[in-house]
Amino acid sequence: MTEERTPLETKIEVGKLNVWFGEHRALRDISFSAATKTATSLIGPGGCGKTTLLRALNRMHDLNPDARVQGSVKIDGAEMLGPGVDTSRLRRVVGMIFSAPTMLPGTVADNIAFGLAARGVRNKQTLAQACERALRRIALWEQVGRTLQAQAATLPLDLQKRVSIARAIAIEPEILLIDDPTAGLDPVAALAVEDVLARLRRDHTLIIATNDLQQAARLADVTMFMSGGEIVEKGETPLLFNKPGDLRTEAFLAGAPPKS
Amino acid sequence: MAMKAIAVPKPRDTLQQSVLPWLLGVCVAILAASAIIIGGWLAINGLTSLLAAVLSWTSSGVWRPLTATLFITLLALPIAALVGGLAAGALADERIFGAGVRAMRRWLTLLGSIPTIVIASAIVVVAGAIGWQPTLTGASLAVAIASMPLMTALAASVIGSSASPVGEAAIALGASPAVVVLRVLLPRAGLRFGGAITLGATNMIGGAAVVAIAAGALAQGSSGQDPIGAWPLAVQLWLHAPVVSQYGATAAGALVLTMLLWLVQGFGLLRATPTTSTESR
Repeated sequence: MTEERTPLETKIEVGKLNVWFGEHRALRDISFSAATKTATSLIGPGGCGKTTLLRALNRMHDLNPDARVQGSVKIDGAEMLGPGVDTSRLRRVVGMIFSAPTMLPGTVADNIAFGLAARGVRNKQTLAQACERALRRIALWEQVGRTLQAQAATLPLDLQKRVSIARAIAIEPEILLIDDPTAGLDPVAALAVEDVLARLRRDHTLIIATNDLQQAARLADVTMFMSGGEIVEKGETPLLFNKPGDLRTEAFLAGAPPKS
Repeated sequence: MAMKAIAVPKPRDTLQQSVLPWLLGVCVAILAASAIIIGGWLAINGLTSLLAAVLSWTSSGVWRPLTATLFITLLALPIAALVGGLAAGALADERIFGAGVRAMRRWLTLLGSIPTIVIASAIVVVAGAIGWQPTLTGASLAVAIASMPLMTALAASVIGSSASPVGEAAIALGASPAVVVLRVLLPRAGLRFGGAITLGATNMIGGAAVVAIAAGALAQGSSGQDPIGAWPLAVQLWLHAPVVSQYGATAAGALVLTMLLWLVQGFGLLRATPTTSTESR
């Protein structure tokens, strides 16, 4: 029997998280929590640590020998930064969609089924079904279903972006980390991607780093404003946008240049 | 009304398609010139020499040094390519060997930058000093070992690493190091991997020729002792042939083999189809 989760159940809890790259301290005592099946957006000026924070949550910094991570990241109450954690398994629970939609070698179908194939699933029917399910969930089946055998790298950028989303959700992660989802897209393509993300809110806990304030306002239940590697302010999105409690947040939302 | 022409930058693939036939043409021309020079050399040395060179295995023929060089290359290449390819694959993901991989890559690049000819000669000299009896098999192993750093460095440069965007994309989907290397980085390297091996092979041919010459010199200095060993083709030529002929024939053989490899690589590139999107990012 599976346990029913209430919408406000804490999914991810971050405590006193610090990240260093060599001597440079990129994140400073980051603490926050996100509830199950909610969308949290990270906003802030370029270089404030949004992407660094996302990558710390699924331990992508492990790939960088110069990076050092301290603090706590708990998912469903279990610590994820400890030495005995299976990082491959962690990344299947905490999926990630990168800013640039890098396509893997092979066809569109190969790309979408990659996560399952990497986990050892060999049954072609199972992979095909997972592929179709992922594409239907983001309303891309009609558009891409007939070109599953096309080389993924030959698709237009906006389709690559959506295929990378399908690829991430095909492994059915519980949490999705999304880095600047509409970077480089024209407004029409950006809205299509945003529509896809809105659908995903129902089934996943989303943490979205974005440079588009309107997008954050449209998509997120909770918004966090970051600056200089720390969280300046966090609150429910309408409240934070309409009545920011910190002058730095207010200045950023008003479009004022950040103070050096 | 005439429309003003808009200058469109030439796509890279198109440029490659237009330049490659010219490069191949140059290769073919050099190959043809080599054939003429070799043929001329044989003609100048008389019909007897020509026939002896082509039809028999006499000391003044070209076939023995050429075959010796070819033999060393063919035996050494799979060993060096296999070890180099596997090592490059292992170096591609820092999760396999840890952070020490970076230092290993630097050392390999440094070692790989030393010409194979130098390392191979050093191996032969040291081996001679400790009483090694030259054989083709031994020379092949020396060349294979000498070529491994370069092969690894070349293969590593085309395979890339897991820290690349494509590697990270796979890792973020929960892929293990082996899956990242075998299912992402190697297939992505594709033809470029073959190109790297070809480059290593062309370098190896020079080393093989020099090792063959050095092996012959060692054999000549071995006071009549039969140095043949397991592969008699190794030094028979050097025991009896004039030194100038050895150098000329071996160099010509090396040149011919190198050109053939370039041709194979060039045709491979021409047949390659672009797999990346031309969409700007």
